[in-house]
Amino acid sequence: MTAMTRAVTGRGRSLAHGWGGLCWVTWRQHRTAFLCVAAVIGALATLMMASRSKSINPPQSDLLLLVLFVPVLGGVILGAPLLAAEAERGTSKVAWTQGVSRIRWLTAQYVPAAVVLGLAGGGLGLLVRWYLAPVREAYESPGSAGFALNPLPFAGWMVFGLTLGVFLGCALRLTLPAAALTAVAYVATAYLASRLRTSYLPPLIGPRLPREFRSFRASRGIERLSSYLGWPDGRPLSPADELKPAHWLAAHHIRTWITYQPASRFGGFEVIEFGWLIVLSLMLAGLVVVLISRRRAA
Amino acid sequence: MIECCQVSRRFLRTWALRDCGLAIPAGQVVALVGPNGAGKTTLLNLAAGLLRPTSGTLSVLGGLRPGSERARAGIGFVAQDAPLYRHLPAGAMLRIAENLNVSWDRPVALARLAELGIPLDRKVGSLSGGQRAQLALTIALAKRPVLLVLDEPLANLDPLARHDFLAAVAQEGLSVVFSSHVISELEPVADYLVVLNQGRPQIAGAIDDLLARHRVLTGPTGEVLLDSRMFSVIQARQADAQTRLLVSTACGADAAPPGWISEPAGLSEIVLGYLRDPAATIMPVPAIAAASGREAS
Repeated sequence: MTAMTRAVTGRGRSLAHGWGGLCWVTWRQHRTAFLCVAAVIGALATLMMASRSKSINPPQSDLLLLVLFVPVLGGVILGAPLLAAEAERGTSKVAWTQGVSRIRWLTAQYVPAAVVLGLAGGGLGLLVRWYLAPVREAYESPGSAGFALNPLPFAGWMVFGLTLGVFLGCALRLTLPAAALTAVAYVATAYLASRLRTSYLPPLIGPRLPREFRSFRASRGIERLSSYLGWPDGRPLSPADELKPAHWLAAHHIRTWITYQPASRFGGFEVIEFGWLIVLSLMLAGLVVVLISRRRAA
Repeated sequence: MIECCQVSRRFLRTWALRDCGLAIPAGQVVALVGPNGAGKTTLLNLAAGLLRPTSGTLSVLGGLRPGSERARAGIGFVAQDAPLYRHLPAGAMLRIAENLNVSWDRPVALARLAELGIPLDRKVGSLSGGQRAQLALTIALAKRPVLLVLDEPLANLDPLARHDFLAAVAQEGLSVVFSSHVISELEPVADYLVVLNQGRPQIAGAIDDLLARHRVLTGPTGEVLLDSRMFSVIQARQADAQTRLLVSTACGADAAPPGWISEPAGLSEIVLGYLRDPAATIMPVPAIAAASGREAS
């Protein structure tokens, strides 16, 4: 029993090599997946740099379409197998019976991957901004798909893609179905976001200025949402009034009003998108923690 | 080392363990045997903290909750089929296990693998079944546990390697609980036997004791006149002329009725006899008393 007391009480509780050792485990296990994602990001970055120097305007949008799917790649080849492969191969029975606790192990598996992918997303976003500098509306307008490619939102999308994969892998415990569902769920979320993005904040209302179609971005805002005929105080005309003759409209100072998102909100929109993606990711990660700590191994 | 009190575990609608009361002593090499589906793996996974009981309580290493930090550090567990990261080299697998643990005896692990001729740069998946089992055992040993819980990893080892491993482990004073369905090879290596059947322990006791308490009686068919105070029949096989009885005796081994021949019973014969008659049990009294006493409090 002396051996038992020694092993059970005599040692400190810290792991042999601490968090660094745990992170090394994550790297060694998922090295191939990390390198694959890095290779794809590197290839896209190279293509962007090459194609921009050749023809500045217009930039190739199919290249950016590929960039939009990089978070899916992270979720499919890194996120989904992270827990599903352990369950499939029974190796969680090894990992969860060593000195490290499940939660600590999970933290060391997930957090470094999330941080690395988030930073990669931010970097890629900066590169896209540089690539698209001649056509700012392609990425500044919340109504365009390119808005997600801004550094802050894209970092959020990368983290979300990974977390979605980890969560589905944890819930389904089968790598391939989890990977497929990750791709579908990610695309669905991205589509929903592109539809809802212009409503992150209630739009402003203002009178339409002459010739502002061209200069709208420079003078007013990042997104023009709608226009209508209204009274001088901005109230819309009733449908009956709209049919009245032009001299009646002129006599009552009826003018065209627009709803829009002002340019000053661009940064705010970035933060909002990043914020809800991170909150959603944290919620999914919390669910994973609950599942992992309650669940039996494989 | 492992104490179960009324432990039950259900998977969907099937009960893998039912009201399992058991106290496995320390400092022994304990063999856990039973037919397929008897609940061996479930019991070992409960002890390793990979499962929680549906009802009842289970403690390991003298009162620790299975799966708790100290219990994890003190138990070297090898799951069924010895799962390992197959796409990694053996050396990387070893390093991973080292980083996941509180204590780690790297020289011993490396020496053991070198002795077994397992190359560190070979992928785990390309090792033979026996080498994989040895790697898993090495990992379980290198964390310097006080209890080894092994779910049939020995099935992949040849008898010599199995014997060498258990002998080496016993010499270090480790407690071992291993499951097996090869009853014939237990005797030279195990000290203590637990037989699970249909989710309940049927036999628990020191192997020497079990052997001493059981006899095979052979005599003429038709005149079975046994004193039930001295013998209880576990299994009877009657042929035309001869009857062969497996009995447990309460007293001296040689007390056979006149006209009968008394022989020592083999361990596999005892185990098989009990497995054919799930109502018969042989359990240590103190363990049951302790279990029911705790239940009352």
